[in-house]
Amino acid sequence: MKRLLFFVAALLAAAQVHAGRPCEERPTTPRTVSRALDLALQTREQLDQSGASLALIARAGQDLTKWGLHYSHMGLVWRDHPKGKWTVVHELNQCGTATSEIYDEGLGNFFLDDLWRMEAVILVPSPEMQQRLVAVLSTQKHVPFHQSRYSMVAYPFSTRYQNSNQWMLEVLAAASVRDVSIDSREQAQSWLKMAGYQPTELKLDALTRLGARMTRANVAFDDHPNELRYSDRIRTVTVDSVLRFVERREPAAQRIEIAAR
Amino acid sequence: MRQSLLCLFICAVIANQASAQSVTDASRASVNVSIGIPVAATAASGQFFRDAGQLSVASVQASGKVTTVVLKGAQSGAEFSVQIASKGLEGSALAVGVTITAVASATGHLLVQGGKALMFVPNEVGQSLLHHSRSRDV
Repeated sequence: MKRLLFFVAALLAAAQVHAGRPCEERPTTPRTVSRALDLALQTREQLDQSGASLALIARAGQDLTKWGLHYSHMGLVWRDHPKGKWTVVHELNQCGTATSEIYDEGLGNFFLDDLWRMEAVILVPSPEMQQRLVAVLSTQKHVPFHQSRYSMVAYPFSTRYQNSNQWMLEVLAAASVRDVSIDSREQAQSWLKMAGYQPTELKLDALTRLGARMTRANVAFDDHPNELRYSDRIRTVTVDSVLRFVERREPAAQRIEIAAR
Repeated sequence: MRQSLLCLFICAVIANQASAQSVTDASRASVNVSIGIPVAATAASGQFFRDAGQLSVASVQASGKVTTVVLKGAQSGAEFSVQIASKGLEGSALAVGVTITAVASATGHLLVQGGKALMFVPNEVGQSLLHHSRSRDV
């Protein structure tokens, strides 16, 4: 039993790869609030200075260092969003349930969470890519890429579930093509495969997977191919893998890392 | 296993002269907002907090989903009211007579009591950083 609990605990640490949003209250310290809002302000200043109209943005919500990962959750941040300057558009899990929604939020909301580290990264793609992504967001074409069935460890090449970083990656795929149109998740995933996107691979054994499936509504593994799942190889979309993918395609993309003062 | 993220509510809020519709909208907007602290918004709060010194709660008036909290400055004697989503105050130490310290930052004032953050009153900069809605709701 102890062994089971250990593995469940380990999985839960792994499963935090993506933003969950349990509706559980925890005392908030004044310092946490102040630093989160300071980080939001610093990030906005950096975005202004970058000259970008749109960027990718990520936060370090959980300690994922044992998985070789630094950031946990990402979205798009658009300067001229109709709901407010530098609004973050991202997918959020609903209170730890098996569903998600796409939200438009201020930078303060984005960082006012129980972050592992008060750090952020923004990645400014090429001006052309910025324009393409703005075109997607401004015409609401990002919404059809959302799948409300949520799994923190969703398989990148299945449409059964989706995690938050996966939604953003699929929107990115839709904005990346020139001569054809990507209108569905299937098409986006086909393009990502073709473009050489490499997901992060987590080593999660059967007991760990079982424990997580039994205790968490927002974790599922039945979308993963059997040959990977049964060899304990769980591939999923992480911030770090998306950053690598974009930087490989766009070497001139500007990465800006920010730590709260 | 208990997860770590904070619950939320909040936030509404509007200047003292806010319309009823604004309050309704703000209350509705509180659902799903992931902020660990109630957020109030008000116009020109900076001057009040600068002159107020120590603060105390003069009154707390709940009306449906919105609660109006009147703060009184010990030094200035001035009163100032903020509105906030009632749900955000559940379990809060906010009560009449409670003494509060306002901690200033570039984004507004954090109201602190006994080392705990009670409420955030954003200034214009803070307000521009705090909003939340479903993306499909244009």
